[in-house]
Amino acid sequence: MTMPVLADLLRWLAETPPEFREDPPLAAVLGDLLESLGHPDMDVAALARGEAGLKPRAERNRRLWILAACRLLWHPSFRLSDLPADGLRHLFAKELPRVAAITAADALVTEEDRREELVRRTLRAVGMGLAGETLLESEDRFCQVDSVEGRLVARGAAERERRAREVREAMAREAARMAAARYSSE
Amino acid sequence: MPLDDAAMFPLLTEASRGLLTRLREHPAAPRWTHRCGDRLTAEALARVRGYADSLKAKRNSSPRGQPPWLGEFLDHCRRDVPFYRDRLPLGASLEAMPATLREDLRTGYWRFVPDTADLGDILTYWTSGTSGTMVMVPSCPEAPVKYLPVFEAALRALGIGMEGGNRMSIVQAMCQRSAYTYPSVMSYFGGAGLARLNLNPSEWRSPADRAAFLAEFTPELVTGDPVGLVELASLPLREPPKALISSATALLPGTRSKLEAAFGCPVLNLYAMHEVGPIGIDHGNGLEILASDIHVEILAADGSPCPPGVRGEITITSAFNPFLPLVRYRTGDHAALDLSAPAPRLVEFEGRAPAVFRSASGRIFNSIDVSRVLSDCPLPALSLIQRADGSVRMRTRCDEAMASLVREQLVDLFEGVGVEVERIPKESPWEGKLIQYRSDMPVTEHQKDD
Repeated sequence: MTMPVLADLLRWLAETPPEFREDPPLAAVLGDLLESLGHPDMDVAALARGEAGLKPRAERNRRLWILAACRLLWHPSFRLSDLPADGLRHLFAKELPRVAAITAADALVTEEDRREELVRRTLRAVGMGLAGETLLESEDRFCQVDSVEGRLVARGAAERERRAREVREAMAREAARMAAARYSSE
Repeated sequence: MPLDDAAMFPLLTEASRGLLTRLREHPAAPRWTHRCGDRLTAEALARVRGYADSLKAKRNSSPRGQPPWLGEFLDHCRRDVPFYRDRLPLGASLEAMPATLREDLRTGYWRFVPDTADLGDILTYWTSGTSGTMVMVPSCPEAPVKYLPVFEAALRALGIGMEGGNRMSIVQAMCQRSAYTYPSVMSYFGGAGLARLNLNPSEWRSPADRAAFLAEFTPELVTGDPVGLVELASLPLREPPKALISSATALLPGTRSKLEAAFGCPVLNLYAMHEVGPIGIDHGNGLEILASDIHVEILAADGSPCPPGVRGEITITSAFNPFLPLVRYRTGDHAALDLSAPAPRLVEFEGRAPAVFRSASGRIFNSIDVSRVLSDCPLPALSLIQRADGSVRMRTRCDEAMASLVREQLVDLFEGVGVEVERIPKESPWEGKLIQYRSDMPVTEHQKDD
């Protein structure tokens, strides 16, 4: 099996059947998906429920992002791989609620960058890469489509965003050099 | 842009420059693959020396209670570290803090670097750990160098002192299919030499060069994984090192005895993680927790603390690496705390297991090489066994196409021995650890005796 191709995954998302966007019962969709991925024991009800206290509109937006991720994970590249339960749990319980808190799921229809963000977040969560991309290239591209970090600018936290970007760039430069000695094997 | 010597060795002296040149250009030197320095400035060196002094002053006792530095450290994390800023409750005890997971680091490593850190000093390490997925680890020059005073503290307890100066002090010995190798000098040890060597003969111009190089540059201390150390034992050394420090995989008692007999010196076992630092060092009686800025808790599966003597997950709060402060980092390794000795120890440790393999042509390599060869294959779990007859059996979860690819890669690595890849269906439970390596065939003279 080869690594997935970004264009294929973007096309797959763009061709999402309309019923995925009509807020079907999330627990049923998640349950089907996780069973198909070999994780029938994951706590689907808790993942579907999310954290208490969200207003109905925000809660609906969270569900729509998770549904979009479910659609993505039905792609054969994911379905035929063994995906780690921890990574999936992190995606559904942490990553996607954070994105949903600041970005409307409608943007997945209108903005290719948001579809790419979903693809890259999902790949990172399950520890997969894209065909033809090094890890550093994929980190760099993720920086560009990461709406959570990007939104900090809009919230007036430009300083923090700039810092995060600078840390990532400095680490990428150093990773390429690998010029610091180590004193034991680990 | 590659760094020049001035950037790699800010404190290079004329004497250490001379030693570095000799190491680089010696006719028996291996084909070095890399250039690395200690990157240490005078200010950073002074901080490491201060740390060394604190380790000399008293043995670490932090696991017996909350360490004195913890309050200030948690304040620093809340104030300066993006990952912890909105995450750590104010004024609560350590036990009330949420755990930090490897997943948090993997998906947001940059959020762990304090806003106060000077990015001109940032270093990047990679680690794959037992999960197999790569994690970028932020660090700074003083963090790796702080291993040296921790090593000194362990050696001091055995009455061994490091000399340093204008000589070779540390050799890191590995025996892998391919590895980063480099010569370096250490300002912490007065400009003494360091060489990271791959003892695989194919990495040298002539197999005899290995002994010739080590005769010219005899180290005081050898670090490395058990495979590299066993290989080193097959070479004639002009004089034995003062001690060996084994790490990366578990050191089996039989291997330790053989190494001690071969070198006539103590063999210590280091338990360390790139993202944490040196957690414990064992010389036969449990892993002593030496680093005073690493605090260890043992937690049960439900997150509650285990009393001394009860095994649970090793969980670390660490100020060891200033660019990666960790609060309650769950390591995935298991042990029990033993507080009965003068210094706290980890006992009944269960971490990574060692495995050494042999190809059809007799080439020796280890599980790190297998992991590297399979690094592009998204395998969530694997069990690889080399049988006594040399054949290889691999069990994993993947589709048929991936199984073919895995088989091809392994046939190539093992140079044509029989390789069988068995796919475990999703319906069947996975037995044991996610990553398991085992070899049933004797691969060295030492292991033949075992």
